[in-house]
Amino acid sequence: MNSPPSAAVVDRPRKGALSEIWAFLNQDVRTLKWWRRNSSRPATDDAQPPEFKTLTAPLNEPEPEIVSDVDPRQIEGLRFRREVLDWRDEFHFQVTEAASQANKTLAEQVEHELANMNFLRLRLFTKPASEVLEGHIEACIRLPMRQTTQIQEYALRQRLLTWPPHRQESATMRDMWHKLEWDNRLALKFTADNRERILTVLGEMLLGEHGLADRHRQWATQFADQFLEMQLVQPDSV
Amino acid sequence: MFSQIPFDLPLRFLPGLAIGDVVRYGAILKDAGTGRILGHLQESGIAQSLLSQALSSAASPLSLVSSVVNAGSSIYTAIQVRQLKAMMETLQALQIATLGVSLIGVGVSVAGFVYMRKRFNSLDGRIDKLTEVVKAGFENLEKSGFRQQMSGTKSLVQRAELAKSMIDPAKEYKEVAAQLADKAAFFEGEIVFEISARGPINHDKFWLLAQLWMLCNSVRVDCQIRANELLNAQHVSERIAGEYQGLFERIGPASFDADHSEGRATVKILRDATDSAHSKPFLLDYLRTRRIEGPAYIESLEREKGQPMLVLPTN
Repeated sequence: MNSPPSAAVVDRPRKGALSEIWAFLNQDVRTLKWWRRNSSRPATDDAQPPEFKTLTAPLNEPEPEIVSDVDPRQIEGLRFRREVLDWRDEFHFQVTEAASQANKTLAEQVEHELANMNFLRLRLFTKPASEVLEGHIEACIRLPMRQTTQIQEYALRQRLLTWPPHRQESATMRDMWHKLEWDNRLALKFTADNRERILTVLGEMLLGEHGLADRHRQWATQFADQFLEMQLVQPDSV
Repeated sequence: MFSQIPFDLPLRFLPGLAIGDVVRYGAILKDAGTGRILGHLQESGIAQSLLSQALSSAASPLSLVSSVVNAGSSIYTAIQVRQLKAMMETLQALQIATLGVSLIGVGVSVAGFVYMRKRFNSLDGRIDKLTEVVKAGFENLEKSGFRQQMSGTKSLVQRAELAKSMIDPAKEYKEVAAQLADKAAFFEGEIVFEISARGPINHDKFWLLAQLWMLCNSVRVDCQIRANELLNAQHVSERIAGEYQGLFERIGPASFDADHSEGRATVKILRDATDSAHSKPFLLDYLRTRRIEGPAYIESLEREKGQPMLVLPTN
């Protein structure tokens, strides 16, 4: 078997010129100086293995520290995010709750008005629903909704008090009441025949898509998003 | 009885939490003043064992806590009732009662595939009921191979359950984790579809899908820990937390077709689950940097028979 010449071949004691020639011919060409200079590819096969420190290092040396891959400062940012989301969720819930309650109360008022109206008002001198329900809408919808949003604005201020960089910030909701829209949608005559239509319109205006509750929720969502985006821009703000 | 891993009891941190010296985020307990992480909350095997018995009666987030508590005397032994009571008190003091008794769990591991399989089975049983209620909605799901995905997921959990007896369990755990990533992606896709559809979200269907998605992810991470791939588990957890945040933040209490009180309970648990997911990488990082082996960590949780809730202190 032709085994590759080892380093020991070169180191053998000299036995004369012939032996030297024989040894030279048996030498691996890659070990010659000119080959190493001109060769671009490293002779890895026969290269000496690198000395690993662990082999020579004493056994009782402490293991290298494993570097942490997380930043604990992020937790405060995440906690603040949760705080804002909790406020937003509570706002959504309370506004929906208030609008649902208002819808129920107003439906009862509609029934009450229809039951107590005299024949002339119901058949001859009919008025638009917006006019008949104006006082009830103010008492059952507008006031409770305003009250709910004010409570939630206060709740946000209280929450932010525990976050020093945001202590001064607050939310003030613009007026979501579009009287013209209510008057237009409830322009239908307040009669027993229109009972279902009136109730449907009231339900849509309060709880439907783009209704009063929906608009309030959208406002809170946008407000919370702005807060959270601001936090992303300034990660050290909390 | 605690193992070599020096677990502590949550009870020690409750006074600090009550007066505000200690704050909780997800499963992390931290010092309010210095910001230093004090410990990581983690349920043990006994918690899973206790809860898995009461799961069949827990159908919605609103009734989760009460159904577990009410089930107490009828299905548990006296010792178990005492353990359950203690656990509920701790969870309530930590303000994570609903998450704690949900299928999702609080800590980094689900501590036991046997219980996990029970959880999948309890969800599977609810699919039939749900199909009757929302038949039209489920037709599409059935077409897209929902049941196939469900049974595939259960089969993977079973594989994970049996992996321990293999010559090379780590390989099997990694394989299961990889396949569960596909299953999780399916459930996530269904949730995205539900959320993106016009109109209110079907609450029952969403809640079922959300649980399946989160369970898949929990088992994925659990498998990676058991395979001692802690860095990978950490990165997977970070990705999962980002996905929960991206998807669940779009939802509010009024987003569902259900009563908004039910919606509020669901959203609360989604927020808690997101926080818990965000806190997992911190625990995994701690295990990794302290050279605590993943399998040893899980084994010590599974061995714990006395305390349902534990804290891994970071001193």
